[in-house]
Amino acid sequence: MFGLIGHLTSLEHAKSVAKDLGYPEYADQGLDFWCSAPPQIVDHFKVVSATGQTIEGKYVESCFLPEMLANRRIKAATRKILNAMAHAQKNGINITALGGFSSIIFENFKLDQIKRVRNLDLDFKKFTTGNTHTAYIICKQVEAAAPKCGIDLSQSTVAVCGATGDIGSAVCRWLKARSGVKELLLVARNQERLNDLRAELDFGRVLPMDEALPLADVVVWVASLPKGLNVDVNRLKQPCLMVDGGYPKNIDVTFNHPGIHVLKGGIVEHSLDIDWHIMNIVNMDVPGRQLFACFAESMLLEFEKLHTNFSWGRNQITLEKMDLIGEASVRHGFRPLLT
Amino acid sequence: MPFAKEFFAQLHDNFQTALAEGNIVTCLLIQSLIIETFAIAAYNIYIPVADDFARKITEGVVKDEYLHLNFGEEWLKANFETAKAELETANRANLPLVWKMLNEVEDDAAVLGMEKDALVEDFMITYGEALSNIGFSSREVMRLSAQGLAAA
Repeated sequence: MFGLIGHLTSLEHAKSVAKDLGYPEYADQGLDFWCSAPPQIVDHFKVVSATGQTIEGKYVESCFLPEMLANRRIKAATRKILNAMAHAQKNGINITALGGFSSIIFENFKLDQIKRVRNLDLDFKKFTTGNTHTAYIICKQVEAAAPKCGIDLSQSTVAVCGATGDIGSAVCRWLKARSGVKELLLVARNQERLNDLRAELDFGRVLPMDEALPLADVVVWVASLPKGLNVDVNRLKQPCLMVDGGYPKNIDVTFNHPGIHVLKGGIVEHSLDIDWHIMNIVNMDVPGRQLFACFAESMLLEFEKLHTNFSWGRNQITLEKMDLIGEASVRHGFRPLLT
Repeated sequence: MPFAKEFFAQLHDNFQTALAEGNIVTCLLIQSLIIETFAIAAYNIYIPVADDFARKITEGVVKDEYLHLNFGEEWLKANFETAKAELETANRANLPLVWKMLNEVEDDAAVLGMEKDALVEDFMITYGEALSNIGFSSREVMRLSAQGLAAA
């Protein structure tokens, strides 16, 4: 059995989902209520591989909301993640992906130091951040979509916003070594981490965001943005490909602007239907087929019986690991979303 | 002591009424589910902020409390079909009292470093697990464990 831990995108989203699913007790409540809410398993489904293998999975709603970070309800945020992990483990799930902000909260607030949750010791081998597959898919999306926008990667400048994150650093490694981009712009908040990354890559330039964006043919967004960002399209190059790898998808760019192409990053499409309900709630265009790459990683690890924390911590994603998960991804029938 | 008597008075009265009427299921809900879960939630949230000595004792106590909770769960699980309706009624009448009680001690608990949302959450998790073990579905657990929370 594999698991997915996720959360909704905002308090408003949570209220409307609660209402639609028929939980009036949850539908009219404010942030305080969600800060007290327990984790719930809200979906149970099967996934069939292109190889014919079938696996079973469960979706755990953590009840985390990004407003908890914006409103400094940090203890509540960390409790949501730990409780969801304990809930998954208690329910006998062998490998669970920490989707959305859950892995970021785990990493930022050093939750690996809190093994005991109530009457349970967490076994971290039963969890994965899903970041390796996400990074792999984002790179594949860049490689496939750029030429379609008239962008030749070998001549192009790619800005990675959130470059020092787990996904960002992996994307930088791949873009340099495998995609052969001409120039890499490293954008992030922490100067020390940026310097370390630049030294490790021996490639790329560190620039602040407002200087990097006007120079970029491709912008990969893999920064943790609870609130979202306004991007002035008039300052961007044309054509410009934006790959939004965040959740919620909140890079506010005018979709109709000529020459600006926005792609939902880190999303895969499966070659077979999945009989779940949850992807309807997160506005996937084709909910029966499309899903977040981090969730797909949990499925791949279950298909491959690789019950280990395949993606963990920060800065540990190697090209070899990306190859491994990428090969499994293709074999089991997942493709990067290109539309 | 006077505070404790007053604090538990309404739950105590409901228990006495149920006992007098022979409503065993209600008695078990109040004593074995609600009160045990309340204790577990309080101890779980206290443990991280307790001094070393108090923590050791409390960790031992909370292990016992989980056992006590389990006694009630086992009987109710074995008698789920006949007990279900009365459990729902008893839950509706008594769970709101828990939210009221947590509101009453919110300030004092905060002084100790115990946050009300953590207490409510711990209660709902443990109570929800108990209801689930007994035989309620996930959907039913969500409804039952949030009973009266909106008005709290």
